[in-house]
Amino acid sequence: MTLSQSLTRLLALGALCLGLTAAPLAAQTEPHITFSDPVIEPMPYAVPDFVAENGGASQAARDIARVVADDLTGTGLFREIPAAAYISGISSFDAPVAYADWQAINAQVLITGAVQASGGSLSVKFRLFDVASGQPLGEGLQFNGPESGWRRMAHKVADAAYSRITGEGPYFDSRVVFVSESGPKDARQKRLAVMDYDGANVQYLTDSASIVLAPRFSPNGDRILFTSYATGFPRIYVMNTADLSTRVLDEQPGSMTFAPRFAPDGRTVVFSLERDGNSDLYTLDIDSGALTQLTNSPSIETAPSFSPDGSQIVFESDRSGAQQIYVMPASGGEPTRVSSGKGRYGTPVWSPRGDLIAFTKMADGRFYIGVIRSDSTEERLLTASFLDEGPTWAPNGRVLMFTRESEGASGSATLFSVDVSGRNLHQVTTPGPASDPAWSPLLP
Amino acid sequence: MNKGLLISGLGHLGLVLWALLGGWFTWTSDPPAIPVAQVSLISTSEFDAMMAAAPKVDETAPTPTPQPAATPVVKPQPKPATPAKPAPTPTPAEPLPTPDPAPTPDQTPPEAPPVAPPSDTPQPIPVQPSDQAPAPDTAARIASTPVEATDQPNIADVATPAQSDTPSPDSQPVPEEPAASPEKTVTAVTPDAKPATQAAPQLAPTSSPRPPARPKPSETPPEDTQTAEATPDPTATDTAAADQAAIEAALADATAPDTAATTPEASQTGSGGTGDQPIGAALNSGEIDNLRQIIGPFWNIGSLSTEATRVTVTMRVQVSQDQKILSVEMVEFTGGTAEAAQQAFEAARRAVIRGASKGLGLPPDKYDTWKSMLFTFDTSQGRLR
Repeated sequence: MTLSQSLTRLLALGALCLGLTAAPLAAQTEPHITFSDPVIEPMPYAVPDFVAENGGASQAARDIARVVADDLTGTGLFREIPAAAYISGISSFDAPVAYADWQAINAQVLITGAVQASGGSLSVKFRLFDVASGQPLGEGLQFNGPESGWRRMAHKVADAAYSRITGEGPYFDSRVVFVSESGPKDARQKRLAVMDYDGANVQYLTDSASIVLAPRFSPNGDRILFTSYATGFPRIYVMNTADLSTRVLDEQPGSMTFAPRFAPDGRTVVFSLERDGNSDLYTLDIDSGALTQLTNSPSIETAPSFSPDGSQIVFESDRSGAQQIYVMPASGGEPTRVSSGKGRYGTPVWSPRGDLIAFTKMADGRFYIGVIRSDSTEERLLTASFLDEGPTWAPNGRVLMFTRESEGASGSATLFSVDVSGRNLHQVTTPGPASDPAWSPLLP
Repeated sequence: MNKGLLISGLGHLGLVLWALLGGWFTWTSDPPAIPVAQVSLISTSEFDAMMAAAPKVDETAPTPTPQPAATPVVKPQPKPATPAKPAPTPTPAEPLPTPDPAPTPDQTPPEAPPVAPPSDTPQPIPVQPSDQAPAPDTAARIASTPVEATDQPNIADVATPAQSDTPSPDSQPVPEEPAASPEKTVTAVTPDAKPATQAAPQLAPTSSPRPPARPKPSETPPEDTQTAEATPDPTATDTAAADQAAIEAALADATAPDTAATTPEASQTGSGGTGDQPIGAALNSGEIDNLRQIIGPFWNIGSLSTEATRVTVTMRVQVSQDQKILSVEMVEFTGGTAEAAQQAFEAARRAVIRGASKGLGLPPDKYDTWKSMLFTFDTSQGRLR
């Protein structure tokens, strides 16, 4: 070792010692405090009745504010402060906000709005305020539409507020197609119906002349796929939601088709086709009618669902001896098993975000709704009951809706909703028993 | 070697002998005497009589009351409890490949089901086509703050209500403040929600963030340009840094009476002061815990997106000498996108502002220490998956 090398090492050592000594001194220049125990509770907010800017808008102003409040509170992420606690009101849409009055009642967010009615149309505008910092939260927005569409405008307002506060995508302005059930359990009548996501505005799409199952919206909501027993055997039909015209998707003599679902492009449908006692997955190009077989296995493959980018398909299969979830390329190929826990898994549905797959699990005599990552990790069960099945994702991938059936001869099916965190489980109000929900995309 | 062995052997031999024979040297025949205390017993009736004769305790005297617990945390909703009865045979949601003979249309009763739909007719009701459906369109945007109707060109096509034209004296519209780079993650906070009744020198500027004494960009503390993580665009960073410098200069002017002796150099060094000011002492653990107790209960991530709950944000909080929040600035984040970080930052910022509304409980003599602090909000303990 030369003298210069020795000196260099000595200097380096000195610099290191100096750095180690100086680092704590530098860190002391600004206190650094870590908070690691967050509170998880609904955010208190206030939404006074919207201001009616003319006489014809009074009822709509009240109703719209109520729907906005119901939407936000229904997420479980917000808690409405009752109007009786208000210190000050909103007399004019343009009046300055008395932040101190809203801070005093612990409101963290304030939503104000105004409604104007003229000639059968409504104009709804709103603003959102961060009460804590005394600042508006984004710009105000205005929606125009027919008076009959006041609920949609309310959902739009709630969607905007929800997205600004949480950072999640909106989902209130969406619809759900489901199977409306009636009659005794041994002679159940089923027909397709569609409703707002919160159970309002129910409309029936088919009569009860034939059994219908598993409706699915197209990616832009203009069509609905469903399985019907109108011919005595399961067949896939496609319905145009504009005029309710219905046709058989594809006639395959000597076979049964079921469990359809659109690809993200809306031009391809994946479904199960049963022939000679064996069922496999196929895709059908709607325009050309080209049929492509994806699986060729003696086991039962069904319940396919595309990934949001259309590159993969998740499905259920009993090829391992028990019903499990698999993922394969959208063009077919060797599947990869996703589920690995105890019990059986079925009805997988890929999240619109692409990160999770929702499923039904059957184990120990109970049914569960759960989610799992597509890489087979982080399986979580969100619900458990006598019979939970058939999850469907909200357009923002944050909420799931599913069918819950009560036991016994008088048991009936109902729709439930749950946050992907497992919180906020609640029933969706429907006029009667309901099953097989399928969420639409966000309405335009 | 032999000498060492000899010494070791003698030592061990001595220990063995001590263990075997040591008791002979310390043994005593009589155990030490045990002190005995005389205790008199009384009966229950005698005790009651004694208590009755004793002076009563003043019940009106102040007694320590337990501190209210922190804001309760909403726990995850428990799974619904259902009676443990045998479940039915699992049935797939989709029809099986070999289904049982399904009821044909002829077997289905033609009459309407007993459950009354909203419309009395069992005939299907067409869904309104998209062009006929109520399709709210996002019309003109509205100013983010209440302003005069004449100052709102965006909603000029909306009929202005009469009350908007003639606002009441106590509800004068507030002129809209110039937007100070809303995309920035810096928030200048008005220290109090009642600006009209507060002393002007304590307030952040409300009219313009560009005071006459704006420092040159070269005088800006270099750490301002280190917030580029929240503003990826380098050109935007320069603009943001300039705006930040203007805002901080305005804040410094607004708090001039309190911090007049603090030079830019002192600000850069944090705890340092000018020559005639003592260097601020560090906060001790009790003071830091107290700060956590004040702000922590207001840090609510219950309304954040699942992605935002995975973000850890670090913010710089500047505090006035009377312990009001002057500014909150995100300096870095980890674990998510910029949008998610912004949501997480907003939740943390609300916690700081709300927690500081009644004071931060910081020692006044250490103002040089806590006038600027770094807060890290780590969600790993409560994140949603």
